[in-house]
Amino acid sequence: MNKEMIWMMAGVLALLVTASVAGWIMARRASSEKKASVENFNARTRSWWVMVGVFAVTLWFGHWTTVVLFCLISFLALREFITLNETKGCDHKVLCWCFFVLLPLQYFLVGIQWYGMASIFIPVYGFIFIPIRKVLTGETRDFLSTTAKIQWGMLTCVYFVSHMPMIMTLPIKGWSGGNGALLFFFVATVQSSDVFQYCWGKMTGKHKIAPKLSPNKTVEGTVGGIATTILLAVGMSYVTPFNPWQAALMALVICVAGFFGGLVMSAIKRDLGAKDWGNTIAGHGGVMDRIDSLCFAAPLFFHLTGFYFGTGMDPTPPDWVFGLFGK
Amino acid sequence: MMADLLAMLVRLATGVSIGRVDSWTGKPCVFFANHGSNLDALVIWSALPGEIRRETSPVAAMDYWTKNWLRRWISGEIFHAILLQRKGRPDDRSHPLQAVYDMLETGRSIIIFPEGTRSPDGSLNPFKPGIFHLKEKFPELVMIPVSLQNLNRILPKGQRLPLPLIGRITVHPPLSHVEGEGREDFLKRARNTVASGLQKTLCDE
Repeated sequence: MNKEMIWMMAGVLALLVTASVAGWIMARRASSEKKASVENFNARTRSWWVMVGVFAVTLWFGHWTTVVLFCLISFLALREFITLNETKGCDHKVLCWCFFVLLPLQYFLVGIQWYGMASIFIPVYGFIFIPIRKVLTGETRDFLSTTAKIQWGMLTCVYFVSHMPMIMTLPIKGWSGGNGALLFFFVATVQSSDVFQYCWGKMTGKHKIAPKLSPNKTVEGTVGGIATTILLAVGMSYVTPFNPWQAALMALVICVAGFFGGLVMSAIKRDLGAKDWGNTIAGHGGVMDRIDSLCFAAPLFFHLTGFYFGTGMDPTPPDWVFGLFGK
Repeated sequence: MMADLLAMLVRLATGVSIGRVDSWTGKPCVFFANHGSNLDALVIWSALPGEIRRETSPVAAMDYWTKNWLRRWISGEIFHAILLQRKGRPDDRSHPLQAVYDMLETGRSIIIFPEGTRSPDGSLNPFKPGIFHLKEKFPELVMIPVSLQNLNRILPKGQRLPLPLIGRITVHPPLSHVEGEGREDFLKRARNTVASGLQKTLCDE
């Protein structure tokens, strides 16, 4: 962990302390009708402490622990996704493959930095494998819809999320700032966009953007939140390979992608008749409720950074793979 | 110690938990639930608060729970399960529920599945009269309806590997005592209470 990272952690720490103190004061002053809202704020803050702590420790240990952490996050998210998307009894075997083989394999590929395979494994091999394993059961009822649900779950919960640990090993031209800081920049930007949108919405929100999908999202909240986040990203730009303008543009792209990621996952959730994806994280809901915006922003951030700042990653497998089969 | 660890693992793997414990502590209770998977007894037992769990034995099928050493160990040493033979009566021609009666005499609580067998599609079959007989013989029993959701997807009939999906358990308040209630009415009331807990969307509070 370098000096820049320590400064950024100190910034996050200051934010969390502020939120905790504010929550403590609000709880003492709150009138009875505001109690629930303050209680939720405090639960959210407490969960943030834990999430930030886990993320910081993971980054500190390096590449492989990050792979394992995101593997676990994918596992929990896919679990919520499949639980709510009522799959059929005949999907049991193919789901076992998804949870116990495809998911760990994707993260293994990310771990050994076989970029060429990790970036197509689920959309190509997984996409083909899932309907093949399903067709072996001989069940035709709702075939396409259940296949599509499983493929969608694998793409959003596993493939998209796995782009975050991939940032850890993305080689960047003429820059040696440490990729941990880059991943931190990405996660901090997208997550603070969520937090600032929530705060701006609570304080100034009037015009609802999508009352059916997400009753809490307002025009004021979204614009204010994204604008604040862009300022924050510019402030963090010196730990990244981006200059301030590039950082602002990048923040805009990932915040908008994150915003729509949240809306899309919310649309799915509402269609299934649920308010939250789960109740794993106190105050936030499920794991998917927390990472929905990261899901959609991660592949964009990874590829845009790779195109403009990357050295072009090696798509061939690591040497030991050739060793296995001869070359 | 091992039992607590197992219970914790099962709660973690299936995501089940019971919110708060009502008035039913201390008395011998009969927890009766819908039956969709071989995990059901294990899950209810694991979700119960420790001090109640240690005093509770599931009623389970002998052929399933004596199949290998792991199942024998769990049913014997951890559960202290009451194993019933499903096919054919025991030789001594005693009452089929005699083992259950004996257990209740000692003051332990039990977990029982009044449908008698698993329902593969998760629908609720008619209840067998066993729980009515229990109530007749032991009027002081606390009858607690339990609804289990999604466990038939976690481990469907005929599968070996459980999926890591989220299940849910709803423990209803004990059935009240209705003076002079007949068998059919009691069974219907018990079944309706269990069914009422199967309607909720998963993951919502």
